[in-house]
Amino acid sequence: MSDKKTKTVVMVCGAGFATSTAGERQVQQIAKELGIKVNTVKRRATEIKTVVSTMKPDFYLLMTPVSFELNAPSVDGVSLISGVDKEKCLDELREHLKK
Amino acid sequence: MSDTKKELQVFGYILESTNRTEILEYLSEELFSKGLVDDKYKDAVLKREKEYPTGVPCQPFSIAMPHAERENVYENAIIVTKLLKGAPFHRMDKPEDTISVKLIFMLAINSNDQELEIITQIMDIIQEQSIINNLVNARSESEIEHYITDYMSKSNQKNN
Repeated sequence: MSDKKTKTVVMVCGAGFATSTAGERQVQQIAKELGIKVNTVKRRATEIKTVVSTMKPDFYLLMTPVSFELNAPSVDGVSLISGVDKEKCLDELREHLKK
Repeated sequence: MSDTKKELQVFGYILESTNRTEILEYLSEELFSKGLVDDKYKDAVLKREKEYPTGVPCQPFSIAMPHAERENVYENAIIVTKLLKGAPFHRMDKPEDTISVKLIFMLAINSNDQELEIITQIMDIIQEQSIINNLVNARSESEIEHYITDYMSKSNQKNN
C-alpha cells in the first residue's frame, strides 16, 4: 500500500459540513475497499476559489453545483444522499480513486 | 471527548402549510423556543436554503434537509416534519428546479465528534424506503419521533 499515492478529494457543499460529510463517508469507505489512502477535505462552496488557488486535489465531489472553473475533475454527489443512481456515482468514485 | 457527547434530541412535526419559508421559520422558532439554537439560527437557515437549497429528489418521496452552520447551534437535534400537502423546495443539485417535498429533516448539529454518526444515520434513513413510508404515513408527531429514535437505537446497537 505504501507505494500508492494518497488521493486528495475535496467535498463541496453549502455549509461545508452536513451533506459533504455524507460524501466523505462514501469516499473513505470506497478507498478502504480499494486499499487506497485518501485525504478528504470538506469545504463550503464559497471557499472554492481559495481551494482552487491553493490545492490540487485529485477530484472534487460536489453536493452543490459550482459555477467556478475547477482545477480537477468533479463528481456530482447528490445521488449519494437521495439513493437514486447511487451505484453509478459509486462507480465514478471508484474510477477516480483508482486512477 | 466522549464525556461531552450529548444525546441527539428528536422531534416530530406534522404541518399543513405549503409555504416553504413559513415552514422553515416555524421549525426554527420551535428549536429556538426549546433552547437548542440561538436567535440567528432562523435567518441562517433561510439564507442557506436560498443560496444552497437542500431539496433532494428521492423515491418515492422527496425530502429536504435544511440546516444552518454549527455556530448557531447549542445542542444536537433533528426535527422530522411530515408535510400533509407537500411544499416546494429547490433542488440541491439543480437549484433552478423545484420539487414537492413530503418530509423535512431539519438538522441542528454542533459537535464534531457526533456529526458523522448523526448524518450517516440520517442518510441511511433517507435511503430506507420502509422507514420513509412509515414517516409519510405517520398519524401523530409522537409516531414520527418513535420511528426515528427506534431506527437510531437499532443502528447504534448494530455498530456497538
